[in-house]
Amino acid sequence: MHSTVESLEQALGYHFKNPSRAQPFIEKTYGTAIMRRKLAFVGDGVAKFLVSEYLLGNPNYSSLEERGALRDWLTSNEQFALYARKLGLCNGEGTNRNSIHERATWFEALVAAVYQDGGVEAAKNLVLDHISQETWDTLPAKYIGFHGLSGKPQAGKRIA
Amino acid sequence: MDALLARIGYSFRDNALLKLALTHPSVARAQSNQRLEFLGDAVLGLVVARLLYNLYPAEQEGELARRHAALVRGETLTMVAREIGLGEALHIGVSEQGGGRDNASNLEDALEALIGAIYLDGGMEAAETFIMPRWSEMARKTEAPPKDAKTALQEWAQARGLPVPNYVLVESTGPAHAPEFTIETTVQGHPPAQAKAAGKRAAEQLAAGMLLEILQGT
Repeated sequence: MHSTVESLEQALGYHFKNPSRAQPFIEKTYGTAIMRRKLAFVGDGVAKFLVSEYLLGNPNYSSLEERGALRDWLTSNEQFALYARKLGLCNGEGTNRNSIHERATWFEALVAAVYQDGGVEAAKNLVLDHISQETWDTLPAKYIGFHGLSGKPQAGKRIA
Repeated sequence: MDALLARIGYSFRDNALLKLALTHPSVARAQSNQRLEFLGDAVLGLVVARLLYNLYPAEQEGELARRHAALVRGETLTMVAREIGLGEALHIGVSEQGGGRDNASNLEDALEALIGAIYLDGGMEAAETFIMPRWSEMARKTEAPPKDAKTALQEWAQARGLPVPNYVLVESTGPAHAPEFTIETTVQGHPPAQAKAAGKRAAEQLAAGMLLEILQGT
């Protein structure tokens, strides 16, 4: 867990216009836990929207079933928990459902905080930066047939 | 199509997007509204999440999530689609001629596609302008957040001094791109109920609803 706003910003590669939005991620109190859970409610919607737009803009996925399944996986608690750990957001290595959910909440909340602070483009950088080669390398076997991508995606490409 | 535009109060810069949003897969699957529907679903989910977050600052995330589920579920979308007369403007194929314009699933999908089209045409602001007046009124109408089946079942069990219900994945079937999950739920001292759905959460909700119905009938 980061102890200063600067440390969090460095990990994110994002500078908060309003540093108070970073407080829930450097303080672990009952109040910030409630704030994170509420923010996570919005962050989940932001992340699903950004991932949907990204998948629609990627011609490697030909069917909606593929896109739907990949969206569910990319926005799953397991993936968000991994992202939270990569960013050093919260401590804990537990692999049970509650630990994973808790770590995912941190990431979703951060997505919402960045979205509120810097708008959709800032949130897009945060969410899509994590869909990297490493993400695809951990793609579960049942999705292998869907995987047609190599390398980091281009964020925000729109195809109608 | 002009009548629909007048009812929704939005003019498209790119009319091809509107046409695509109104084209049911029975006309041409490759050039249908399915892609826009996928995007519109996510746009609606985000806008409604923000709406509820701002409207109910004192509520916990679980309560907000239940309100959200009620506002983006199929029945709600079908109702809005009927209000704006979306069915009349739908472009449907021969196989859908017998009632396809008022089919709930077609209307739900077309409304999400319309939202996706508005987003692509005019950005998030345009999508919000379409969504907010319709959904904010519905969001304000419900004073208490609606209870989902799992919550209702848990409360039923706790009111009788029983442990929380248990959910077990019985089997996962179907191809990787369209799996189906069978979930069994039990409440101590009562027979279990099973349900199958495309997602684990949906199957849990269905099973909880079925068990609750059985328990409340006993």
